[in-house]
Amino acid sequence: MKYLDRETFIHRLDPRTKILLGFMVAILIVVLKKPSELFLLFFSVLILFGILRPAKSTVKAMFIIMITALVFTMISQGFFYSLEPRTIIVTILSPDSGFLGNITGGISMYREGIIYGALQSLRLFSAMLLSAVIVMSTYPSDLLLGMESMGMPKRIGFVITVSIRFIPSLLDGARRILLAQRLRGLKVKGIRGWFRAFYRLLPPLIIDSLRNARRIALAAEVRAFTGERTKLKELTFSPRDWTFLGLSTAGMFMLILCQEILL
Amino acid sequence: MNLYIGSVIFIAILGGIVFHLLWTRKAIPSFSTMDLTTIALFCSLLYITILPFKFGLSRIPIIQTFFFAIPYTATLFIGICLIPRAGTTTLIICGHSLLSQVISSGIKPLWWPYALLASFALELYFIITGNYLSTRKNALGAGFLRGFTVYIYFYCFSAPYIWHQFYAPWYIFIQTVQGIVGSIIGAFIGIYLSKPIINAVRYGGI
Repeated sequence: MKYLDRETFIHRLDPRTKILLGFMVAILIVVLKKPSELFLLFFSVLILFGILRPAKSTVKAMFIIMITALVFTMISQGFFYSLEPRTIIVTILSPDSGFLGNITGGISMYREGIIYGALQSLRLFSAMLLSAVIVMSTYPSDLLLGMESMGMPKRIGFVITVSIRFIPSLLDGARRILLAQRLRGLKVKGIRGWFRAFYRLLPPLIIDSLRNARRIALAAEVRAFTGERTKLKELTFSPRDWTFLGLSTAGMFMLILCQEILL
Repeated sequence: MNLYIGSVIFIAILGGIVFHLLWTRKAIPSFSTMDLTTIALFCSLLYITILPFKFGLSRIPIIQTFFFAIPYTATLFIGICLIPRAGTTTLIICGHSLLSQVISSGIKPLWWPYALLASFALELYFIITGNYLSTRKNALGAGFLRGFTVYIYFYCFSAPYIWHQFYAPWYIFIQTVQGIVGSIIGAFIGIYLSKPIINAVRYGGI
């Protein structure tokens, strides 16, 4: 998932608004219990995702990820569901089938577990879609700026900024070193090959990158990283942000209250 | 739900204990710009080294935890060996977590307690033992602790109370054992690989 250059109202929101929205959805993911409210949360986030007008390839990728998550959650919950009543669909290991049966208490797939898994994956989908909305509508640097203005220490912001800068050069270095190692006869296929590659790759990659790190540290010192600095970009909360936050907060409390009243 | 809130309070208390110990021992860490860039390098390295495992080996059902724990712990422990100081573990683990959230997975506050627990447990271990992976015994303990805390927290607190998912006790046991074994192997690989890197830093003019 990467930044999508569009002119939507979500793009124009302050990064802090999106971070706070992340907190609200996180609270709802934990607190909501009823399927209808989980559906409502999912559709609200889906609408935000739709507003971004993502490319077909992005929608397809998200769909594949969500279907995979759905299938895995349904299977795992089908097996591990422990509430009653539950109806056995298929038994893989009977409780009285010796040592393994004794230890596990039997392994069966339950119909109620599959339905429960499908409903609970709505939590995962809401989190996934909101993550996509945040990443696709905000530059990483703006997100960091937002987090710093919300109290994140400047040094942690620096670590994250430099980490982002390191990723392409590390990937490039890793590709170069692996190619050199393969030309020297290193076999990287299979599980053993993966670990062999990891083993041969890491020391030269780190040593090479440490030189780069030293240069970056020097450049940061020269640009007064440890001294008093002014910001190139200042974040401002617009009426749009206040309205959006107000509506989201009201929506969050309404969902929680509805659940409390209807339960 | 109450148990989850309790676990978050426990993590906060753990963080308080770590801070108190450092305060009373006058060992509050201060990092130079070079240290911070090295930590940033390890945050990116963690992100990159687990990518092939994330999309490849870790998709193998049942045993994915084992394959995931090895590269993560090895890379993390090389970073700790390079900057053996209180605070390094927290900065690398939380930095990596924030980095993945900022560039790919979006801000997820639900994962913050998980990263903080993994950091504070190791910090406390290093402060109490007074040793930052300089012996194999210490690495064994750190690997065990990392595997144990991270996977027990995920399966006993995160999964049931955040994602409302059930896991059978035998499955949690298998995953935790794999996490512990993977983390211990990763710890040994980490301290073994850190030696040539430390030598290069000390004597190689980096």
